[in-house]
Amino acid sequence: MLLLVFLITSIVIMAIGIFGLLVKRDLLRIVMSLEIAFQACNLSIITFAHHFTKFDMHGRMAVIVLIATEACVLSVLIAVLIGIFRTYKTTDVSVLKKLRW
Amino acid sequence: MIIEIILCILMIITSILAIKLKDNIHAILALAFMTLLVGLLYLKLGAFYVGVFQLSIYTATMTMIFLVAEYITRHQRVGSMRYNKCYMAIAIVVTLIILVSFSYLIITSTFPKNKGCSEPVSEALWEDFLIPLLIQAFLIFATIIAILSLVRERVMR
Repeated sequence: MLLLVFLITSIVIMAIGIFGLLVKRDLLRIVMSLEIAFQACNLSIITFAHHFTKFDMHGRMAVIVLIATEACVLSVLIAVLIGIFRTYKTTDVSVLKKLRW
Repeated sequence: MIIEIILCILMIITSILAIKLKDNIHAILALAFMTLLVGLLYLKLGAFYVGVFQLSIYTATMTMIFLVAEYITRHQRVGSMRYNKCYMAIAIVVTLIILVSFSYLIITSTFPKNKGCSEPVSEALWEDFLIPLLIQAFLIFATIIAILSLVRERVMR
């Protein structure tokens, strides 16, 4: 029962994150949506690890490694955001038309 | 069981708020609250190390990075940030909620003998996850270089 509740929650949160990725045009909101999707991913891994007790510790360690990796990804994205803002004076992705600046 | 379901419902509500709120600062605060709830859920499930990582990295560090990024991009967009006095009251209430909930979960949680201690964690981390850990160290190093090269001031010729 608890596995089902957590899985439904992670699916809903993943859907919300993907919705934000597709709909939002502000780059900061896109990065935030990506973080929400990451949270759903981590939650599902922890849920499965908690359910299948044989892999409990491995799932936890995998999530610890994942958390650090996701923090790196989000930090680089924030740095890209600041670089884009310095060049274009906006964070609206619909304005960005060139890949180089 | 009831606490987990309440945490799940609150997580969904706060993630919707993080997407739908118009003000970026409010959205970042909602996201911070959502990551806090996820961390509390990890603690409730007995994954103490993951919960502490979640709280320290996502709830604290990433929220600060998001707020700094928002401040940098908003500062030149609308002049200066508006200071609202109700933010202080909201911060105090949220901090109290966090402290009470965190204390309650810590008190009610039972530390399993084989899962809460550091020996199985270090065994799994250093034996089964040694290569991912090394790759992660190189990744963090590459991230520092990437951020420095992306954020540095460009010299115009």
